[in-house]
Amino acid sequence: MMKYSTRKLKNGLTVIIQPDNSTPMATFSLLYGVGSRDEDPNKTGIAHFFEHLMFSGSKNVESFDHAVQMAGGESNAFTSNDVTNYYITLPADNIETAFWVESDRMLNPVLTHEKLEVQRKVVIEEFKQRFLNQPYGDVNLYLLPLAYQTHPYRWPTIGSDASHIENMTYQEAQDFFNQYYQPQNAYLCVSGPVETNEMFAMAEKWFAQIPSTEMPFRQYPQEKSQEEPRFLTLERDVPSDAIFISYPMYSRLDPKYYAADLLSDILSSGKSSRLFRNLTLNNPLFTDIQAVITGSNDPGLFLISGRIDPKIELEEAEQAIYEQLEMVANGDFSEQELQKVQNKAAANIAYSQMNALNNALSLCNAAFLGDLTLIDKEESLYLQVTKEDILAVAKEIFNPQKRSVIYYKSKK
Amino acid sequence: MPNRYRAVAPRVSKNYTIQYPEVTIIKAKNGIPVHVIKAGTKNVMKLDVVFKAGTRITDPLIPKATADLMVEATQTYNSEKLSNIIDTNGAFLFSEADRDRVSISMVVIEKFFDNLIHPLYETIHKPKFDTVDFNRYRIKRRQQHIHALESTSTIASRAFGSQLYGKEHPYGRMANVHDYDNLDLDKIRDFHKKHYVSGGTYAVVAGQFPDSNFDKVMEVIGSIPNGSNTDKNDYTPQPEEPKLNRITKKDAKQATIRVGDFCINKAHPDYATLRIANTILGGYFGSRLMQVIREQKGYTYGIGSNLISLEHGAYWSVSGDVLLDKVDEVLADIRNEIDLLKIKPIAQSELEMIQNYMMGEILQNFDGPFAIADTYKVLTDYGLDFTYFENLKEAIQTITSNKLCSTVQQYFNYDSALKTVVSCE
Repeated sequence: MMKYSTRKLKNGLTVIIQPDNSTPMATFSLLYGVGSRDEDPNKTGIAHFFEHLMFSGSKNVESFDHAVQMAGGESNAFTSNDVTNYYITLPADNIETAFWVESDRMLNPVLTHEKLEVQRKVVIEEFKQRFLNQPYGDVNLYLLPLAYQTHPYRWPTIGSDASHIENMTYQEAQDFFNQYYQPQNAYLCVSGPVETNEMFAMAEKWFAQIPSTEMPFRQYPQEKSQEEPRFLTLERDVPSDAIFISYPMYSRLDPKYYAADLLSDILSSGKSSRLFRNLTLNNPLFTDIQAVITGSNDPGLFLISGRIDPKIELEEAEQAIYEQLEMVANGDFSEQELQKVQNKAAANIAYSQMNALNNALSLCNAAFLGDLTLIDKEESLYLQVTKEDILAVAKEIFNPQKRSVIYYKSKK
Repeated sequence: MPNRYRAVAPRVSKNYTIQYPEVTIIKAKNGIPVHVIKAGTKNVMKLDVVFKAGTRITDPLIPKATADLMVEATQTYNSEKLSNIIDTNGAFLFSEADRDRVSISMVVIEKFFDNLIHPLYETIHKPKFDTVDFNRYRIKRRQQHIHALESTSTIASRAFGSQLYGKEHPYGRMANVHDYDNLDLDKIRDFHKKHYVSGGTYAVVAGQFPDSNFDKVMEVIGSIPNGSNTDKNDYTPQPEEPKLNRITKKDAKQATIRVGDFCINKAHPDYATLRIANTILGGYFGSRLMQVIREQKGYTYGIGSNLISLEHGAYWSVSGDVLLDKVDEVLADIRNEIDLLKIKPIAQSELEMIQNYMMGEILQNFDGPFAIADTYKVLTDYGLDFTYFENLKEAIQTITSNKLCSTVQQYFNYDSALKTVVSCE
């Protein structure tokens, strides 16, 4: 069991403290419940762009990074479909600096036109580095809008197009902050060798006066049930063909999520997994292959992707994937295989709880999902999954009518 | 509304006492030192067995393939059985090969360790080196190699290594696609026999686990055959001309830059000061290079400077992916930032920040047993122990502006440094 305490401040900020004396470092994590799903389809990428702008300094903290580094710390952040998470790791003695800088930028960040222009360029370079300058790197720019037609998950967090970042205005950034960067939409966690009551007192001192105003009403357009398969062919200068197949699946909070996660593990977690053994070793059609799920708040995707051996026809490789999926959906797997991935899931939970940073991020995320007890419950939720559960989700997910497929073809 | 106290930064402590984890060194019966670090709260253990069997010894594909195939299959456990028993016990078994060394590692929940001791024994002592596994491995790796060559940063790293050391140098030779066709399983078997011996080998066991597990580890390590592990390679570098090597990658969307030159490794007494200088130049987010090239100009998502320690000849290197049409400007900025550090005394405020930052950075090495084990391994490779951090601490606390300038003058010289640029036509 993980030891933690939680409290909600009057302004709605959720505070979680997890004392852990086995590490000298403390992590301060602050999650805002805003991500790329909250964006206007014509102005995508603003949530992530704004994450960069949050490092511009605030009213009383001229340079955010300078203040953190002066305290011996390091900070970073990430943006997903659903959330934006900022975190600082620093020597536990200096934890108050984290309260100072994070509360100050929640209260009053200083966005200048000049800094906005520089970060605009940086984000465009990030876009190139991650998506355009990597072989196959642009696939999500095509796969997401194929798999989602109405839901805002149809664009990646970096944005659907570099032009959206190029056209973002100062006012739009300000408005975005005012709407979403509020205590009631935020989750704070401190993990490390700290004293719980002292941390609650600091939270009170630094955050309690930050006002919450009304949050925008948020309703995300949900996908209509997909009735027929969707296909797209891309031709690129890459060394071999690749295939990307996606199926709609459950949300992170759906009870069936755990069976779906284990199903993806049966298919591709570790060297003994099915797709790896059967399609890269025994019948080597692929040079690599993965099955992963997206753990998003709204219904996510079950994704299977692989790079195909240049001697093999794309169609043959594709069929081989479907055969593997069908085998599992027909129950052609053993109890032992299920037990194996359950053991692995339990072990991975233990491994992931071995440093302050991971713990703080997981606690913030569980709080955001609305159930902190998930931290301790998840292991048993994985262990309770039965073979019948796996069969049921496999049958439901691997419906050929609901697939979206990208044929990524080599021009060479 | 909010109070005036916000205007004042909370007091920060700058002198942290580091609680070094206790390390017990026990020699196995063949003399191999086993370093035991009890740390963390979870009943998890990580074992690393580190052999002096890195890619520098011979054609680099052979050491790498040996390490990879060792964790693929053993005499009792074929590929399928081995992966199955590892996965079933929620463990990880993997190898990592760098230029000097190879490690065979296992991460496991302590209570499942008993189930895995025999597979672990065989991984080290009785790898299968099976022809079918080998052929699959070779084809797959060959294809992965072709894929990796599509990235400008892979192209740059390979070219820079060859440029710095020379194409025939043990650290500078790079495998090519056709080398996979000539890879020979017998040579791999020989390599294992010859280099997986006691000479230069050590092990690190970290986490929380009972003594009975430790005794079993000692048996596995203790039965590694005696033998010395030295190679007769010539490590004199033969840097390639010209100093600036421009490589074309069709359709590149960004240019990758590498600039670097030889320096001292971790074991050298001046290393701590060099490390401070490198951190200021490009070793953290607030570094000069990041501030100028990313935060002022927006030409990159990230640029940094690293010190790479190798047993025979270390080097520093600046690396980043930058805007295609700003390559020359970025190179000029790198030169300028190096030159400024040589002549202009560092401002007191920046010096204080770097001191505080680096003191905190030391503590990062102790965040959990896995981090501790990794930190400790790197020290052991150079015959060091945790006193390394005490020396670093002292260097940080006593650094002066003069000392910094003279260190940069001694080790960072843009003109004599080698440069690799990979960009589109």
